[in-house]
Amino acid sequence: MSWMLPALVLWPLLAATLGVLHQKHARHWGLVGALGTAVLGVAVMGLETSSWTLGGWALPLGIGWRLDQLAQWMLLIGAIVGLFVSVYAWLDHTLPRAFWWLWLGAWGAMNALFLSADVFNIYVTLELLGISAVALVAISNKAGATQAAMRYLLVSLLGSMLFLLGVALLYGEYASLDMVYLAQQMQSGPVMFLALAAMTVGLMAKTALFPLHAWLPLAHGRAHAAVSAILSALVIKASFYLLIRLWLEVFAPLDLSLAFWFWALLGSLAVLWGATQALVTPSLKQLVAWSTVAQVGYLAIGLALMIDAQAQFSWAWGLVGLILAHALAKSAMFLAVGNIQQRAGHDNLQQLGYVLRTERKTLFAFGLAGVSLAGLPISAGFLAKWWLLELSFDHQAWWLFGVLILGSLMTAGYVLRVLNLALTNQAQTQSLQAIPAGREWLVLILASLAIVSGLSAQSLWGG
Amino acid sequence: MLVFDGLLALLILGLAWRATSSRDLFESIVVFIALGLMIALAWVRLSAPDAALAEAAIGSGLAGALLLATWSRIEPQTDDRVRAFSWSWALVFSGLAVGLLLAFAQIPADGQGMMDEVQAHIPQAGVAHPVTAVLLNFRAWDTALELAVLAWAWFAQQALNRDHTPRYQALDGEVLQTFAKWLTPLVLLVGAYLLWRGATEPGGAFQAGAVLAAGLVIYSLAYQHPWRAGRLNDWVWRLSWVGGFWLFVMIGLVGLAMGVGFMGYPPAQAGGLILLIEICATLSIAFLLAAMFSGHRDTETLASKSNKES
Repeated sequence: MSWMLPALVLWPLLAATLGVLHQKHARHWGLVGALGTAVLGVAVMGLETSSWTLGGWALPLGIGWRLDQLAQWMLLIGAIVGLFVSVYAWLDHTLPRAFWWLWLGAWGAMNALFLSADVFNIYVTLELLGISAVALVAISNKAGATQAAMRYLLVSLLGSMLFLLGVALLYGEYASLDMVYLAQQMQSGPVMFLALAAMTVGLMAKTALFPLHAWLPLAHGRAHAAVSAILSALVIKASFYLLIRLWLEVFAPLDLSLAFWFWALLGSLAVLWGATQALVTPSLKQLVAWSTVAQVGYLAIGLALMIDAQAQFSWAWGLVGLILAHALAKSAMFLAVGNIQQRAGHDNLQQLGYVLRTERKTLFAFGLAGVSLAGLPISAGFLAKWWLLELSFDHQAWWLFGVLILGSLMTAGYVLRVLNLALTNQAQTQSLQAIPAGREWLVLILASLAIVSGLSAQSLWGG
Repeated sequence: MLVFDGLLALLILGLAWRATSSRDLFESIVVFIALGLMIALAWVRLSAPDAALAEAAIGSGLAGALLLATWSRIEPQTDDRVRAFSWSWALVFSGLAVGLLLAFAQIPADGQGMMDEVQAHIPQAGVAHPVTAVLLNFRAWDTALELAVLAWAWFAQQALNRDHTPRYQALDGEVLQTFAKWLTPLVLLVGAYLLWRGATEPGGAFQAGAVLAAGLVIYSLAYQHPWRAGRLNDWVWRLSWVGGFWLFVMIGLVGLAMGVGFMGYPPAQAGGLILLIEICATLSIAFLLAAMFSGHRDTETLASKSNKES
């Protein structure tokens, strides 16, 4: 095993620990930790894909680790988004020091989750991820942050318990915790359907998939911009990654013929409901948060189409493309909102016209991210959504075709709702706070990546 | 014994119901502590003394102490709202209960799980007790991450606790202080015994750490102050929180360098290394749990400076 794999988990945790020990410089330790983890996350793309057991114990005794292409891509997405969010946070002096321990803890936990092939070990990583993510929401000073974090904590814990229940059922049935072995042994039966149902509901709650999404706009509305970016772009993707593993691998041998309808319906409702809320909400941050609810719906639709398309597994890379596109665009969007919010001192859409007009780079970044979210060519979002359209064409699921198009139009609608404000002739009503210029450039680069990565995405399709 | 088990099961359900339905927060907490003890008894009946010890010490003892500490810091509250009975939730939960009962009826009852596999590898594990072998050797990575979870839970609590240290009420007389003086050596002894025994019989770092933490909690109650420390001592406390995890993964990295694999030990040294890890883990767990209860007053106030700026 390459030393890089343990380092992916231990390096961020080490930097966080040094930050706790040496609190005056927690911010600098945090940046060191983030840079190292990002470099490792990119370097892992060059490693041979393989699997290992920890401690030298053969399966089923030891804990399995595996690095396959899906894990590599998830680590890479974490590295890119994590790097940008970290530099942004380093330039944001309003963040408390605790942000760094908690964020690096969450990052290490996510990396451990992506490497693990052992369902119980994954539960432990979910615990570390959950506690860090909840505390990240709670460190905000905004009114209601504690309540929002409390609700997130309850949802997250309930999700973990349901996941653990599924792990217990799997272990009881097959006396193993290794995902590859479980997939080989998997046989249809009521116990396995219960395990799948419990784990799915638990992970849906953590992913904020309709109708279990209510915690997300609450938590995002009150969290720091960097925290919202982390939650929306990465943390909820970690639990969605587990849904992919469970549905397309561990439980794939079961007869899942009705699953297409389950995921496609929930996904469509999420797309429409999230976008509707984003079109009417009075606050900018909530608008972006509701957009996440809608975009998670696309992920669910992608999963629905994949479950039905077992034969062409190479198509699964479209799901990664979808995750990548959303992670880049949404983190850029939240960081852009952070710039605007901090400059204006509020995020009330009605009064943002002047600020939006003066913050040209940030506004342009917001627009670029919106282009990718709505799926306009040539962005990464375009490729991912084209993939969805093609698959639903393949399935002759015409109604889904309609939902996808309508969802994209609504996305364009709520993005234009913001851009339109910048075109109004609103006079300056309040004094503006200064923010570091570096943060504007950072957001602009990240948003450009959301577009440019569309050009190189043929690698996702194995081209 | 069937009658006893039946009564125990009914008692657990009754206490759980009482803990969640009580309108008085204090009553809920007390009932919750009793519930933890009954669950510990149930673990004993299921021949899982390790889980019983952990449940009694952590689930009932320290969790109860944490809940009471929290209760003492918030406004007294009773819930006078009329509770609506929700048919839909009742349906969801009874559905889950029925599903679980059916599922457990289906799972092979003679299933040994991985026990045969574990027993076959005990000779190379360095310890004779199967639970300790699994926790500290076969699945060491899980246990290391659990230590990280505990440390991060405390970091999270610190981040939220800002300038908040617990209020201590004046005690009359010296009964508690005398009691603490007598009890502390005993607690140390029990903790060390649990730790040492873990190699061959039920026991181990988590149970020992919880017992030691209970001793520290009694100490801080008797002397009525949180762990106060000078600048140098700050470092010692902080190292004690993270020491268990880092020693564990450092040894794990040595395993990687020596070719045994990440989180593995050379079989000849396994016993000694596991004892070393367990001692450090016990101390980390004890100080983390005690810090969660008593708070920790730093010479630098945590995160307050940057908070004031915003």
